[in-house]
Amino acid sequence: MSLNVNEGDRPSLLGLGRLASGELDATATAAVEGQLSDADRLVLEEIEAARSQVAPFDAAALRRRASPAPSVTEAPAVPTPANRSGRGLWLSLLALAALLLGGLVVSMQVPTTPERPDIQFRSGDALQVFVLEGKALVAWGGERLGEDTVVGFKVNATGRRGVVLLSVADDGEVDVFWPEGGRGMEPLRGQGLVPLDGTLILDDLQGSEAFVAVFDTAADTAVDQAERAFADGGLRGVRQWADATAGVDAVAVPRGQEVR
Amino acid sequence: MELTDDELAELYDRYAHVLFHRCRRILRNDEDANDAVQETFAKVIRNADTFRQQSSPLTWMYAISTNYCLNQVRNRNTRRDKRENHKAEIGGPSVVEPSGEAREDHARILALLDDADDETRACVVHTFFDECTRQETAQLVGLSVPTVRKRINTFLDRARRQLGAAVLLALATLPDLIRSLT
Repeated sequence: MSLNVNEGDRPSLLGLGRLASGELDATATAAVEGQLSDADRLVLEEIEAARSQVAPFDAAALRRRASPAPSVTEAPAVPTPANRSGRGLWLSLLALAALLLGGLVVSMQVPTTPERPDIQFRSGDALQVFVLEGKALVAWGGERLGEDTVVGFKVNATGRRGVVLLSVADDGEVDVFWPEGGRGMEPLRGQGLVPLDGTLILDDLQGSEAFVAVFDTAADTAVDQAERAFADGGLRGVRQWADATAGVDAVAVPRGQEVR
Repeated sequence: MELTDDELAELYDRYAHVLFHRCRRILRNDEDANDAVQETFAKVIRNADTFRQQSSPLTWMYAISTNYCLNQVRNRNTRRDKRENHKAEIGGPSVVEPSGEAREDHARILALLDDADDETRACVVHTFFDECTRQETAQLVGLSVPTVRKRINTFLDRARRQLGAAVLLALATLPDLIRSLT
């Protein structure tokens, strides 16, 4: 089988792009124009048409994107008053939800045991992690989560229109899990802790992973904020960001060989 | 020395739509392609001194955007795999995937690229997605022409072993395939 490798007998997409952008000198322009087929001319038309589809130029937005992550160390390192005052309420609501669901055993143990990595944290009440045991989702109790563990999430929907649930691995990789498709927000309805539709099967990541709920924020913005927070201080930076920011909650779990 | 807003505006007017058109071919989504363009220009800002030294700014931005797009595809595949797994597990509605052999071939090739090293991925994308000559690919990736040829042949050998002739046929017609998708 003969593969369709360009031996220089036709312009590449790069060559067409350089032609379209006026980057080629007169000699090179003449050479490329001499090779243009009808299909290439269509591609040039597509490139020109793309002017109307590309985002408008915004120097400030580009510079923000290019700038290093803002420091969050000046922000308060404790939960916001709203988070603190709401803690008892959400504990109660979670307990009630567990009773209503029947068979759903909820454990709200805060993982503070010293032998665990100190990067493990729960910073608020708006995001809860559950682990599938048998056919029931039970509250994550702080144990290490290994490959193929099935996890689910509940988020506090009160006063919120939507949420983005993302994970930040300890190498800084950010993945959006809700909404599916990674754009916009997962719409929220109801009050109190509501389950996100579906669960995740964890991969073989070793180390730590933070699950972060970002409310009323588009996914691309949430990812940008998470990446900046991570750049500022790794997973601790993510924790500081979640602690200091209303509408952001994070739970970090140790990952790797399962010991449950 | 930093780029001024006027310089940035001129570069954006000249190159943004070219990059957008090309990134959309890989990502098959306007919003993601725009994101790739923004990220590429952010890197231009961060690396202004290096950028100023380029004889072909577009070539430099092509290389940057390639890495970004392929990472996006990789992340997207990871997320989709996880969500698909979960849905099978709980018996929920199955994920609706785009139909059509062309899209499947496109996806299979991108998935195959996931296992390749970064330089090989870039060689394959520039050769088959962008229809670059080996010389252009070598310039984009920063390798010699013989090394580019070797990387591509190694990739094709592995593709043939893993996925058979069907994927190679799709790869051979990839530019046409992509045109049918855009």
